[in-house]
Amino acid sequence: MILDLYRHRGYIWRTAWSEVRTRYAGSGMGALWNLVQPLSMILVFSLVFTSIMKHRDMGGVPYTVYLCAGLLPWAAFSECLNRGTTAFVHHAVYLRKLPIPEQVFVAQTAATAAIGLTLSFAMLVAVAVAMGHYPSWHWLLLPVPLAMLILVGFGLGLALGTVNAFIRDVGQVVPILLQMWFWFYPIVYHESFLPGWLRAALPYNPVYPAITGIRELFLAREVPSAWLWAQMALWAAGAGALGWVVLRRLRDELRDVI
Amino acid sequence: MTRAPVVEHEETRQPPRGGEVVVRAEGLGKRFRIYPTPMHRAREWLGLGRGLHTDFWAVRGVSFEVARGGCLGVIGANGSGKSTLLKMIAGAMRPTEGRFEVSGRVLSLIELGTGLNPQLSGRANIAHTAALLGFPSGFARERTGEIEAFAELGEFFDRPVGLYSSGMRVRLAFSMFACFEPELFIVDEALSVGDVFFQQKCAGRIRRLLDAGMTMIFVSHDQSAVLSLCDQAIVLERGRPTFAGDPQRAVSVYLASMNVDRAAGKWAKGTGGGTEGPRAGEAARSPAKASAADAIVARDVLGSQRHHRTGSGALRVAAVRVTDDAGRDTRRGAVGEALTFHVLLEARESVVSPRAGIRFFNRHNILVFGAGTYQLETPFPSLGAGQRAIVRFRVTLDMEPGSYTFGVGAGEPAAGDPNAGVHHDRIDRLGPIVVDLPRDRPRPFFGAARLPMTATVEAIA
Repeated sequence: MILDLYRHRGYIWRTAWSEVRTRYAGSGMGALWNLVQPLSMILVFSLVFTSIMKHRDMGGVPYTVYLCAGLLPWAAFSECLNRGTTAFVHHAVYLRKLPIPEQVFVAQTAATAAIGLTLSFAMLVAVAVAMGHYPSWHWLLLPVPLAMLILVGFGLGLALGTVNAFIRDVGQVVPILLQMWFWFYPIVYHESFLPGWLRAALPYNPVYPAITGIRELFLAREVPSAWLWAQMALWAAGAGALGWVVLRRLRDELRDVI
Repeated sequence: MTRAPVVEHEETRQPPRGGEVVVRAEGLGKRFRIYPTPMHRAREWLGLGRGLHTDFWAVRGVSFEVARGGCLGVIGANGSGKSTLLKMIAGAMRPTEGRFEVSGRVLSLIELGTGLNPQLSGRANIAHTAALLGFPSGFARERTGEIEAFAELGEFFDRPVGLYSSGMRVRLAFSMFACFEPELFIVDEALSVGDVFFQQKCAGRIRRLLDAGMTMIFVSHDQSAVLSLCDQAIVLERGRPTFAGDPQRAVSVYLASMNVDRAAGKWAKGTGGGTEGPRAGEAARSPAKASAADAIVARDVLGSQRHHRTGSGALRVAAVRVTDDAGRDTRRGAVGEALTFHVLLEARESVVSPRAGIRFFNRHNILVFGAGTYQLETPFPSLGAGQRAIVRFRVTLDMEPGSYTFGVGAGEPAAGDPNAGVHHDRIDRLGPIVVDLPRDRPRPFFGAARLPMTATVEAIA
């Protein structure tokens, strides 16, 4: 399974890159739209939460920086899951006729999300420094939790994408769930706003270890605890295993129904 | 001047001797589970129900071996499981049972140009497709020059594929696949697209690759292509192999099976009612005539089209048989050759001045020619209820090479106007009748059909 992905790495990277570059092909600004999208989102949230809800300072960090540290990884995770769910249906033409391993298409959406996340996070680093949030060596560790988050998205996307091939309702439900997930998880607000029982449930959220790790490294400039690293790895491995098991059980019929 | 698609009638390719086996299939089978709704599937997954699906075996029990340089033909009607079998061999579908082994690189032309990305240029698509199929990156680069030369796309080679015509896409796709030098090449009907010159070029390339040791599996309705390329063939009928072996015999088995199939359905229906059975002894009185009628019924080509009929049914077309001048059943002939259409008619009521006719439509569904006993002034005695008659139309195929459908009809003159007719029965969309142009002969005329024409030349000093 992983070997197949390795064999098709050329295709995965090639299409992921060309997708980043050509997603907005035919528009005047071209690839720049990749930046406009997250920027506009950040602007809206910053305005609403700082001027209307009076969020200013999140433990010594400007609100916009706090927001972005959670929002950008979340956006990539959500894209990964959303598009992973529809990956097989989208690539039905290929699956019906070519002997390409199924997981390649989910890996391709994950790779696209990873490239987008790398670009947007690099931009965030620049903006944060400009806003007076000084860099630290801790930031060098950031790729690890970011990658773990994408892996969770890949694994869940693989599982949901497989089920979606058979029951298309899944593709409709996932965006709704992601929307709820987004608002019930402290991304745009601080977790102290949550009621106690929801806060207690937070650590069981698949994105919690990675997003917390990103925030500790980027905002607090602290190395997360060993337990948090372990949690990240467990979720990534668990999601990957789930995707693999689901695909393996259903792969015999997957191409028949697509 | 364009040349019509040329069909080569040549000797069956000889199977390569003593080659290693490249492809081996043992008892391949594919079962589809059909659920009334996706939710039924979910219920089965969750253990909330059992047997909510119906099983459908699209293919079962197919075994074969193809040696290096060999070519296997797969023949069958639509829905006989050919595509499912090919998809399993190509790896685009997993077999439910059986074993399948293939050594080497498999490429399939099941859908030419499936992997093409419209935003990339032809050149970039070569690398894209190679990556899609998991080939190493240097592989495509080495062959790009050869592909460019073979495809003959000119400046379009560096333009986005989205701007290509469908013919150009096919050129690119075929060129790519031919130059990727697969060990096993799987070809569907796809090759019948593109212009005739490119088709011939493809055919030549395939022959060269076969001679160079490529193995091929070829699916086609085109019997002459199967005969000229394949050294063995299997016939599929409703997913089951009914014959495996010599391509020549496979083609006859296939043709015969279609006729038997249809005749069997007819007899079953006829004898079920007892008195409604074939009235061979009753109507066609002499034994010889009765057996002629039986032969038409046995080799009937009406098939399922018998249901697409219009008319009162007072005079019915019971069966139609098509033969060449040597008496062989065929639906194919060269330009200028004749086919005879034997039409068995059955009067359900008494018909005073019966007439029957035949018409031919080209692939644009344009009526090319139609005539019958009335137009030819052929005497046709009146028929009593229950009486039968055989009308034979011998038609010279003086038509443009290509595929035609034909229709047969029977009727009576309309009251008051002998030139108008009342259709008692009319069946169209029969066939196809294929008119070939042998390569070694000059084309006898241009256009849709031949008109009687003479020419004289007078030299003037």
